[in-house]
Amino acid sequence: MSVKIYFELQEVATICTLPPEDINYFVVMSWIEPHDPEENIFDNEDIARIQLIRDLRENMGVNDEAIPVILHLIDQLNFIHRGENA
Amino acid sequence: MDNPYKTLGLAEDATQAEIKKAYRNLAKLHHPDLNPGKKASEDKFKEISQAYELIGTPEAKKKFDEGEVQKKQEQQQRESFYRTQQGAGRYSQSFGDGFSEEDFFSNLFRSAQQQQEATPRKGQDQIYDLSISFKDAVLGVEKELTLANGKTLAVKIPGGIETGKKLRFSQMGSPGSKGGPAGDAYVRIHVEALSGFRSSGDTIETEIPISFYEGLLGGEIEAPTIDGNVLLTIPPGSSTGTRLRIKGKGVVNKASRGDQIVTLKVLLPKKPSPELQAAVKECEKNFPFNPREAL
Repeated sequence: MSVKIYFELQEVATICTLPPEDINYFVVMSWIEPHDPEENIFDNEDIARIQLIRDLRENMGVNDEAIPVILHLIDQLNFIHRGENA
Repeated sequence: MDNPYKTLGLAEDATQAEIKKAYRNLAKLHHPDLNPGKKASEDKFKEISQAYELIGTPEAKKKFDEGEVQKKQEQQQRESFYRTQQGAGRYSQSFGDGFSEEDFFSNLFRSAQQQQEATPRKGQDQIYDLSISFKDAVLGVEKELTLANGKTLAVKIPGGIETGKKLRFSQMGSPGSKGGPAGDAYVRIHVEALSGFRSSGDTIETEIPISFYEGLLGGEIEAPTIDGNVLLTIPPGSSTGTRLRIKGKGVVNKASRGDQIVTLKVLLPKKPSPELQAAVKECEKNFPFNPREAL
């Protein structure tokens, strides 16, 4: 069983090599829903998703309009896949 | 770990642009979130990501090439998003029990639509093409353009504009949504060619044919400019290639105006009559001239 670790914004920014403003932007756009939105605390799921968004935007040339569509698609695929693996 | 150049399928002298391109192509192919459940893709993606971290930026590449990064491979183990969502992921849980594959696309589009509805969006930019004459491009002109929304736009085109230049009219494009600003309108200029005239910066270049006699004796000829014909004085002894300047007949450049450069071209009759040839021979005897003397 994996142990949950929680991170503050600045730590997430360091791990993901992104400025904190970018991560705040992801949250404002509802691409990321922090583990604890009030305290702005993130978990490993959030970090993996932020890294995915960073890959899409910076390395694959995906524009911001397409990001929510792709994320939604991936979430649904993961949901279906989880059912198959259960 | 393998050599990062090899991992990305590159030669060791690959440029930064080639490295980025190779990484992008491989990342698109093997990204674990685009290949859910495929362990091989996940491993490959990790490998190419690590390779890219080693040589992906000019600084990193320099370090790697200089051997500063040896076996320092205790890279933080990146967890793919897919892995976090297997078991009890928060992001992929929101579809609930009743979700079926039939709902897949309706959900997708609903979500995208909700996203669009929630965010103020700038309207689309619009591009209009406008053709103008060479003279208008040189002197500047004001044109009227009817926009897609029926409004009329006064387009003030400055002198000296070239084909392909775009003039921007802020917020004259498609309206925004949810309180967002309108997009911009761009007017893309196309300058129609004018036979015999060519512009280069603030200079207009033309070529004028003259006869052998005019070149030899000099004189005045009529030279076309975009403002109409002007009298141009040709000095005696002008040859093909002689360049003469007509001041103030060039391209408008802010408050001033450039010049027109006329290049002369001496033309001879294609079929000189025997009488002409005899007369010139006589002339040559009396006034010999060898232009290659100095060679």
